[in-house]
Amino acid sequence: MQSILYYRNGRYLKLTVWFSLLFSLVYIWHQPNQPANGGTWLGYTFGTIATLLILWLMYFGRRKRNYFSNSGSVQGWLSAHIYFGSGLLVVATLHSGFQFGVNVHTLAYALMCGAIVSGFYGAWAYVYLPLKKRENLNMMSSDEYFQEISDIDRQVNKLLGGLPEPLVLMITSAIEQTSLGGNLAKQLSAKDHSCLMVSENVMSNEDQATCINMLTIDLAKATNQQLGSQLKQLIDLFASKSLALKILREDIRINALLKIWLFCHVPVSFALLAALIAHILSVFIYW
Amino acid sequence: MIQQYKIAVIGAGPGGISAAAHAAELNIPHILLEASDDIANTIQKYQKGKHVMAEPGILPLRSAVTFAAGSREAVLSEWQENIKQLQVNIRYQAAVVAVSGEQGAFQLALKNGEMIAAESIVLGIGVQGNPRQLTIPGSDAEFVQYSLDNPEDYHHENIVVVGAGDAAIENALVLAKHNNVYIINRRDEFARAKEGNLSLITEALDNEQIQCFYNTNPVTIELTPEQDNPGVLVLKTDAGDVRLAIDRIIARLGAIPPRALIESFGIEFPNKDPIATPVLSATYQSNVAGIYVIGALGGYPLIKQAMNQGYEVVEYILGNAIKPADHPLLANKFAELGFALEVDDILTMMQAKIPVFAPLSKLLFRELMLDSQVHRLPAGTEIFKKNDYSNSFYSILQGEVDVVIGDSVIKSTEGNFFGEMSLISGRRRSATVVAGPSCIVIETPRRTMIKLLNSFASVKRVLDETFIVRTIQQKFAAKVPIDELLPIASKAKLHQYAANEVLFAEGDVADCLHVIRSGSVTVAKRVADKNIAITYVAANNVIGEMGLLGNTVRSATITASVNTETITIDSESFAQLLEKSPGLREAMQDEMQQRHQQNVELANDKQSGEILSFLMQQGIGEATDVLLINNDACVNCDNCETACAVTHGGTSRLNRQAGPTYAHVHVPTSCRHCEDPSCMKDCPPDAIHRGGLGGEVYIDDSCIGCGNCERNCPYGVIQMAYQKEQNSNFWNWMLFDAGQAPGKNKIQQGENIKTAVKCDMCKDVKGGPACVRACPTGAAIRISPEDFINVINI
Ligand SMILES: Cc1cc2nc3c(=O)[nH]c(=O)nc-3n(C[C@H](O)[C@H](O)[C@H](O)COP(=O)(O)OP(=O)(O)OC[C@H]3O[C@@H](n4cnc5c(N)ncnc54)[C@H](O)[C@@H]3O)c2cc1C
Ligand code: HEM
Ligand code: SF4
Ligand code: SF4
Ligand code: SF4
Repeated sequence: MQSILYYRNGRYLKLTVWFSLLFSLVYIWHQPNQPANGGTWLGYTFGTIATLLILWLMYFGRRKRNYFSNSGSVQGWLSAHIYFGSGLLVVATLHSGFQFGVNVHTLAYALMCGAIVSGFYGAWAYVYLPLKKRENLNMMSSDEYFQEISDIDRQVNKLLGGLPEPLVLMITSAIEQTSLGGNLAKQLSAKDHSCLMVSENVMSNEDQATCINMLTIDLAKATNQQLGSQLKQLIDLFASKSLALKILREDIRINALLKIWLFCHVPVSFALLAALIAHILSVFIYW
Repeated sequence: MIQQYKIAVIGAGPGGISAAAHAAELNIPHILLEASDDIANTIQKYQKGKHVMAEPGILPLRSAVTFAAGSREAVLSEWQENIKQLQVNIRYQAAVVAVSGEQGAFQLALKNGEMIAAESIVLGIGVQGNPRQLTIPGSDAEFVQYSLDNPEDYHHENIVVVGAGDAAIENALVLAKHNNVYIINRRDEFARAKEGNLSLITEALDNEQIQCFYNTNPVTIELTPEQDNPGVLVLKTDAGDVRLAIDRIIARLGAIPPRALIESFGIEFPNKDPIATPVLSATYQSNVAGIYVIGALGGYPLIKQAMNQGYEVVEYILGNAIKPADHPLLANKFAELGFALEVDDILTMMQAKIPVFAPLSKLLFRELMLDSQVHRLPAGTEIFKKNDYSNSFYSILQGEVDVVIGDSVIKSTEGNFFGEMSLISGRRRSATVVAGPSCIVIETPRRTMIKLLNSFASVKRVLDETFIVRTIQQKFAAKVPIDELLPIASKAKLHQYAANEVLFAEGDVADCLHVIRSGSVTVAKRVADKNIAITYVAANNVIGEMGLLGNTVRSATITASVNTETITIDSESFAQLLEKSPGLREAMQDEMQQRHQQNVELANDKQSGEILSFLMQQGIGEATDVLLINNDACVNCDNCETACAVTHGGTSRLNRQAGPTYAHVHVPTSCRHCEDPSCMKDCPPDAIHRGGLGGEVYIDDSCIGCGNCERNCPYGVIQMAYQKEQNSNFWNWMLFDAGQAPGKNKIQQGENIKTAVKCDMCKDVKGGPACVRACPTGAAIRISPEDFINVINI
């Protein structure tokens, strides 16, 4: 398979490595008569390259949405984005000449590092999480799991006939108060917030465990064979349901992970753009 | 006293109305007999507010009645107006049940027992047939209905749907949203329903949204006016009688096809095919002198055509030889040929020169020529190239063509035809064809040819025989003249296999080889007691030659993956071919060795085999190009769908999440561009085409929104969608949050109808499939089945 990291035999990886080496060598060779910084001719050169790179990296947001575009494929662009974005770290650092302080210049640099680090996370997520997602789903699609859960609920409802009233209330409340997903924090934690009601008290029903527990207690006490087999079936059903829910929660968590980093990457990129403008203006104004 | 008319028109559809109106205009004693209690029953049954299209645009309208595209209601009220103005003598609830007598003195029997006499009869009863009615006591109650106009009209009712076909299921499903719905099935399963409806109804029954009575028949309807529900339906079930208090009964028992009725009039059909149309003369006269057939029943599926024929048929009855309204279209077509002949004479000449078309009636040939194109070609013009994805059929009217197969050239001359191989297999062209000196060819579209093959056994036989000889020549003996191959060809046999049928099994004695003519097969080998699929072979390839060459037993099991046709050549004939073509044995042995090696490798890869089997189960054996998603790389961003929507007027033609998954391969819902597309089978304006280099199946702007293709596609990839608005500028959205996000276009306001939309393989988008190009991780790919093996190994 051609992953984004090895797109066209790592064409952009190679380009980035060669250029980074080249720039570093030039930096070492260059002996300015002042300490290395953005103000030397080489500093200007690196600065210009870095600025253009940042603009180009930001332009990816447009290219990605220009569905008529014929300039390469989005996959190719992303591969280049990842490597050139990483290469930016080298160019910008050389541009700074390792001179940091508490000022708008260093702010721009820090924001850039923020964008890049979040980018690294994103690249890792894009390559690794789909594999995890498939492993978790284990040959089925999430749709099929949702289907399975509603099938189970229906079967449970059919089995309720003849059970004692409190038990029926407990089971229906367990079905009603099964929770999945929710706000971002809940999606990411994948914690089970399911509940159920036992004689008017709300209790946690994490992994359907309380429900299964109560059913097992009743099963142990059951003397009537019919009731016993009914309870056994219910326990099996809730066990399958708990498994399906767990898988779905993990799926939801992975989907959220695949998405949320962009909510950091993109705003930081825009902040970087603003800081970059400030950085350039201030350099020219205070020249 | 029996009423006497010159012309009796049966059926007040567009054809019938137009005929009667023209008769009225000319003051000819006439009567228009309509079975239902309103005009144009077929159009009354369109969905409310449907936009009726006036296709084909280039055909002029010639009728005493007006017709232009507009809403169903507008079209119908206009016709009513016309009928009144022209004082058309129309009778409602006058279904004709029998016709006797002969030209000049026909007797028509109406359902109510009345008789009518007429000199000539115009039959325009369409093909929809009359709905089969409930015949139990009480079924004349006003709450018993046979169609469902607007499901939104009913809320909180107890509704019984009787029937188990698609219409019954679809009605039950929509009504179940707001009502308490029962469905009555005479049998113990929904055997007649199509796949999609079957799964929907099963789900609804599981969810108890609908309740089904299987093995059940309705017995009586009792009226209960003094109770909450107006009636009680009594059912006979296996477990005894059941009484249901009901508000409404919707009986969807199918239609009685008009064919039996028409045959009882003495009218003949060419064969038993349910879509066959009666044999007609150029003046629409049937084999019974004096009975004329027009409109959909005569094989013309559009309103304007039916109306033109209504006008013309009256003229023909009067003995006026007017030219049909489509005359200018043909004249135009023939103009570039430069023949100094009348259109009719050119048609006669063509039919005389090209023997395959000889069995057609004049009217049918005319229709064929309306669909076809004629090309006068300068010598050297490439008509099509090997591997092109066109599939029309060509016949040579004049001159000759060169058929180039590899390094040999075969000449084909006047009266011959070519292009039948792709026509039959639905696959790429297997040869290049170049025009010779002063060459004129007729190009006939696939759909027209398929219709012809289905109605004329003789045409089909000629094509089949030619196909076999040419296949043998092409595959095994390119340098041997056709004449020498005829004896071998006559021993070759055509076979048909249903999906999953075995052609031959591993270990069988090898006694013949198969050339796959249409469809495709999977090759499986036994590994540790399990059949593992190792590869897929598409149409136009040879299988089973390995056993013949080595004179051994079969080394693999071959199974048809879809409906498949093959031609077999027995070992004796094959030995003769080997003798006639020096070098053939060596070439085949080389290929065989390669395949052996590949097979061993593939057989060892169990997962590939399982994925391949899975793909075949999804019917991908008949695909030519399919969208697959590699789940190991998909990041759930839905960029593929957005890309499709943005490049296609705001409606995505693929549904990423839907569809089955196996291991890392996901098959989203998107068109597979089938070899033999079911969607194309029944499109009234012929709006679905196959073309281009990619062989994409696409729908053009003439779609009238009838929904036939949506129902006919076995893979549920066609949607009926409203036209959407243009989206705002990207930067305005990006920077100022103005307008809609890309791909989230709003539905257009005002007059807007649902038309069919499906993947067109981005034929109009530069750069090809947008879904694939927009995928950031390369998870989405479009491939043809021949390349599956590569994907599986990714
Ligand atoms: C959903 C749908 C949408 C369509 N949209 C379009 C469109 O937009 N544009 C277009 O051009 N075409 C469209 N068509 C096709 C068009 O409806 C038909 O081509 C046209 O109606 C055929 O006209 P006709 O006169 O041959 O027969 P019909 O319109 O079928 O009329 C036959 C009439 O005969 C009556 N009849 C039947 N049996 C008897 C009998 N024994 N005695 C007396 N009367 C009888 C029937 O009640 C009916 O009124 C559409 C078809 C469908 C199904
Ligand atoms: C300063 C440097 C960078 C800037 C300004 C930047 C900017 C952007 C922008 C604007 C987008 C578009 C997001 C969207 O519209 O959905 C994006 C996407 C992305 N970036 Fe960066 N980026 C930078 C560095 C990096 C680095 C170093 C990496 C990886 C190592 C990276 C990985 C990605 C990924 C994986 C995406 C998501 C693509 C998608 O979902 O289509 N970025 N970046
Ligand atoms: S629409 Fe359906 S039937 Fe038509 S080509 Fe596509 S998948 Fe095949
Ligand atoms: S190929 Fe084009 S039309 Fe087809 S699904 Fe992809 S984007 Fe849509
Ligand atoms: S564009 Fe690619 S990654 Fe995104 S959802 Fe579609 S297939 Fe998955």
